[in-house]
Amino acid sequence: MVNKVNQMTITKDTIRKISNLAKISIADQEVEKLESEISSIIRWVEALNEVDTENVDPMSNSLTGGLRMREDLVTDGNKVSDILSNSPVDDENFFVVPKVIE
Amino acid sequence: MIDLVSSDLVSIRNSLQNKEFTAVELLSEYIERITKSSKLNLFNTTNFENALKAAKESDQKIIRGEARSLEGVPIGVKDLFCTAGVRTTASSKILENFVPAYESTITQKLYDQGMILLGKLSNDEFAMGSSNETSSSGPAVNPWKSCSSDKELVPGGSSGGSSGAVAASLCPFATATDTGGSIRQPAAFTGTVGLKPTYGRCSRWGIVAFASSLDQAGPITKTVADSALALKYMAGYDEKDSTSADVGVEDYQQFVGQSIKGMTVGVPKEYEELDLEDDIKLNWHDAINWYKSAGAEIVSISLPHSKYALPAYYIIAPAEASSNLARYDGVKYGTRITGDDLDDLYKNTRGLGFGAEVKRRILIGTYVLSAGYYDAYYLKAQKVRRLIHSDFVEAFKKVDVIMTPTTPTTAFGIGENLSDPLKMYSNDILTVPVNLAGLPAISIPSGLDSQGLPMGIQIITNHFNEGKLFQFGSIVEKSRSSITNQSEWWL
Amino acid sequence: MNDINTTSEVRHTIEGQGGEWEIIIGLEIHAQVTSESKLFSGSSAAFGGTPMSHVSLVDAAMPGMLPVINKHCVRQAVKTGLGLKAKINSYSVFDRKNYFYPDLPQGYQISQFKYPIVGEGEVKVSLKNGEDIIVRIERLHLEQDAGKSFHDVDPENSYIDLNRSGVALMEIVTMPDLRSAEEAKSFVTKLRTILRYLETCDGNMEEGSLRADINVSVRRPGDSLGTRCEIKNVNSIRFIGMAIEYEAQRQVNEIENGREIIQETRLFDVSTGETRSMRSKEEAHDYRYFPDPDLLPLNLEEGFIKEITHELPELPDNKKERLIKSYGLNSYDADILVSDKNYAEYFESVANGRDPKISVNWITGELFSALNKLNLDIQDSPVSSNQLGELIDLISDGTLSGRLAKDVFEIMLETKKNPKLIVEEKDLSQITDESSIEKIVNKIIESNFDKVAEAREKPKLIGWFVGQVMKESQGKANPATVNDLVKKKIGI
Repeated sequence: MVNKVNQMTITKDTIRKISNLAKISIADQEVEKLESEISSIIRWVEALNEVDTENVDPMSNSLTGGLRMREDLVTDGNKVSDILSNSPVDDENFFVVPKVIE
Repeated sequence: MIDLVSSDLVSIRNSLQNKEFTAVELLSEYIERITKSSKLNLFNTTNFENALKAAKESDQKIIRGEARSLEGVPIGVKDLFCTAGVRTTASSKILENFVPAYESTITQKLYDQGMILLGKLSNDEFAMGSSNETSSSGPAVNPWKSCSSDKELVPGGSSGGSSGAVAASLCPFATATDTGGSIRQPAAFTGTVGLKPTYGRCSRWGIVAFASSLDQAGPITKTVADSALALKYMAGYDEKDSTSADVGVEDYQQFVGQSIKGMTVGVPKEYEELDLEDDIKLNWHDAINWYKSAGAEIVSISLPHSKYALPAYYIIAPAEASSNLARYDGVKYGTRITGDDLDDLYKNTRGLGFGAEVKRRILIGTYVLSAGYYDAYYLKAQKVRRLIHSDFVEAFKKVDVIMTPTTPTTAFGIGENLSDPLKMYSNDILTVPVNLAGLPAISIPSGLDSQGLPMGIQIITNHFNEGKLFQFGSIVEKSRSSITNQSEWWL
Repeated sequence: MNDINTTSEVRHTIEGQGGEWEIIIGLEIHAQVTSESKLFSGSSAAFGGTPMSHVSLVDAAMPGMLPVINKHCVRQAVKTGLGLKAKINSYSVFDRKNYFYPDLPQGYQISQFKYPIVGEGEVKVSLKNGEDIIVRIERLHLEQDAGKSFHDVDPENSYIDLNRSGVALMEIVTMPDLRSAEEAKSFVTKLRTILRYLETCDGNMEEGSLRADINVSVRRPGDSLGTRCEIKNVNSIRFIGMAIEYEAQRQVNEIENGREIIQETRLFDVSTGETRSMRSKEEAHDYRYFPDPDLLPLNLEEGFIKEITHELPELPDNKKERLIKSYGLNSYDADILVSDKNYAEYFESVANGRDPKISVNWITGELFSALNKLNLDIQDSPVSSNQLGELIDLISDGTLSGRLAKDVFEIMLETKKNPKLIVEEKDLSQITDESSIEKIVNKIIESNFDKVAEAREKPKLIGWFVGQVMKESQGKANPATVNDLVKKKIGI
């Protein structure tokens, strides 16, 4: 388990795929640079493969104890102008975006 | 003429309350100094007009004897804290015109004590960086310069605007945030005191998120006593933040100068192997002696997984960031750059609205969470995070605090590390483990290196034990040699 | 791998050109949690509202805004889990499901992926043929609803309203245990009944409170599972049936014509009754689920779950059993009554101290057809259960004949008056006194003497005499007495 290094190579296609998932346009000339930068970062983080983590629980937060719950009360809303005040395009209280094709 | 350079938060607060000068007089001095310090490029937005109004009100309150605890004291706020009616950009082009309709919990708490917003301080874009060079408004500049060179240095990051502004005496106290060292490292680079409280100690509500499980707000100040005072008013439970801890807030100033006789200071043996500058190593060894002299026992401890903290951090933080920054899509607020269709709108807005480092981290985060890689990277990093945390738990069974240098180097030149992300990331090698474990830590100026640049000592303690940081921090403050910046070259 | 499935018994098939096909159906039901405020914010969860009025800074995903969970929504999920006889997980985690869509302001939906709040359960469904099937529930989890996009307001643009953004949903996932459109419809109907009993979801499909994603595949009986297609967001029980029937037939045709089924997301087009591929959704989705770092794990204490267990109402299956046992109803009647807890409540009020069979017949007969005509729910019935009970009492004590009672019922519907009052006002009580009836019978026989002889030949004519007597008495004569007397007088 410990030294099973996952060889996952990052290619230009990987960069295009993840930039598409992240909705970030990347110029063609940037792809190559990102490929090498991200490859080297990913290779570097793979140092973690040296660590034996069998039977270790993942930790997503340092706080212990559970989630605090609030009462079911309407305490918010009716602030249309606050919601829209920074909107790039709105109309009749709606946000407006180029047509979505389903 | 008020001597802003030799003033600190406590002295200014006292002077105002003793009516040695008025809030308006004080504010005017700060405004003048800030205006003259534009070379440092520390402020994204100033708030002088509103501040002047507030200062007049504060003076009325002081006259009427209704002064609140920090009445009339000006504050600089990192541009990651949302401020109602005052532009909040996170130093990103994507938010360059964003004016929140709401006030972050922390800034509101500080206003409630009478503090006055001077303006919004530069930071690395979305707090991603260790040099404050990734800000959309250009690099912030360190008020310190090496005695052997005239090149401009970075003030550290991501809270470089905050550290620079306090170091240049443009405000007595600045808010900041720390995800992997973003308060402590800039404090170390500028000869200021930077406190990262326990995760959950200060509300995150209204602070632009970078990595939610690591982000924590704290103060940058000139002295340990100032830091203790600032924490008292920043800390506290907030029902609007599910990760805010309902733990009592103490009067932290009582810990400043308290004896540490018979207490224990842990020194991690693994850190001896790290690639630290010689002066920093020497300074660290000096600090060991300061503690011995103060009556503490020095204990060698082991943090065996700390060396994996950086790689784990550079999986976890980008993963969270890739999701936290998905809301900047040009639909509801912020910059919108259109194209042929909706997909183009998203991609152009985010492609052009985010800077290179932010995009790099979003892409890394997207990659490590994507199908087929989650277990190998993200889950693995979370398991390693647990081990790093456990190392600290073990250590704090034996010691009161752990002491390390804050940074492996002193401030470097603008542009020096920008082209090499990994080299930039390595700046946080000593600070990142603390965030992963959610612990409180403080960086105290501990002397100048042979170039005349400030160095910092980091003190770490157990969760919600911030008092000990001030107690142990004041030893460094008392024992070090003077760290006055001799030149005010930027004025 | 494919044999995770269920009963091997083949319950239902459809006919292709080359033989029989079995349909395998699994459902993902999105049920809006009944609550005042949203799952993670304090804005109103009410349906409607002017655009953006039910929106907080959190719902609009403003920078630095944070979610705080609504305790009532958690209770509702647990309650629903208990109602589905499911395992309640004391540890559950909220994850982020990441994707870009204009009505998803955060760029992710907070949902539960690896550790849902409710685990495996089951629902008993009675089919029209009288058989019961068990549909296994795989899980139930809590998640946020998205906002609403309007694509037909403007030719160039889509309009986004965030009023629904962040409203709490329960996603209820079944195992692939359903075998026909009919079964799927019966299941959703039953699930909706349970949710309404629990008051955890109003089940109002027109307002989108209950929507189904339908997974459909077909196979030759006995084969392993075929490739499935998912039909998204179907919002009526009738459409669920139509979508399944169309989709199953489409898949059979594809396979029989030598084509392969492509696993994909499809849309049910209400106007054509067809399903079609959603091309835009075909681009590979990679939701990058990970635990939401703004939230901690949800730990439910035993006491919390116990408290909710004690609050559980009697559920349809138990109620049905009890109605059969205590009132001697048949299964058919009991099913009708428990299909809406208000029916059962009305029934129990009427049947209190009265004949259950007469009560149920009046309710499912006269009352239901009247409500249907008036388009009213039973809660809004113009005839209260007490009034209907009083009417039945008037039948039982002989004051009203069945026919008269129906007349009185009509008046009750119109006037909302009590039946006794109507009887008094209109002098409608039945004539049971034999001598009074005899007078009328004599009068009719006398004036129709020619027909008496005929009636002796053709006894069917007795009915005509009875009718004349009833008419003469304005319907008030007791029909049985009239019948007896007419026969006696004519001499049959």
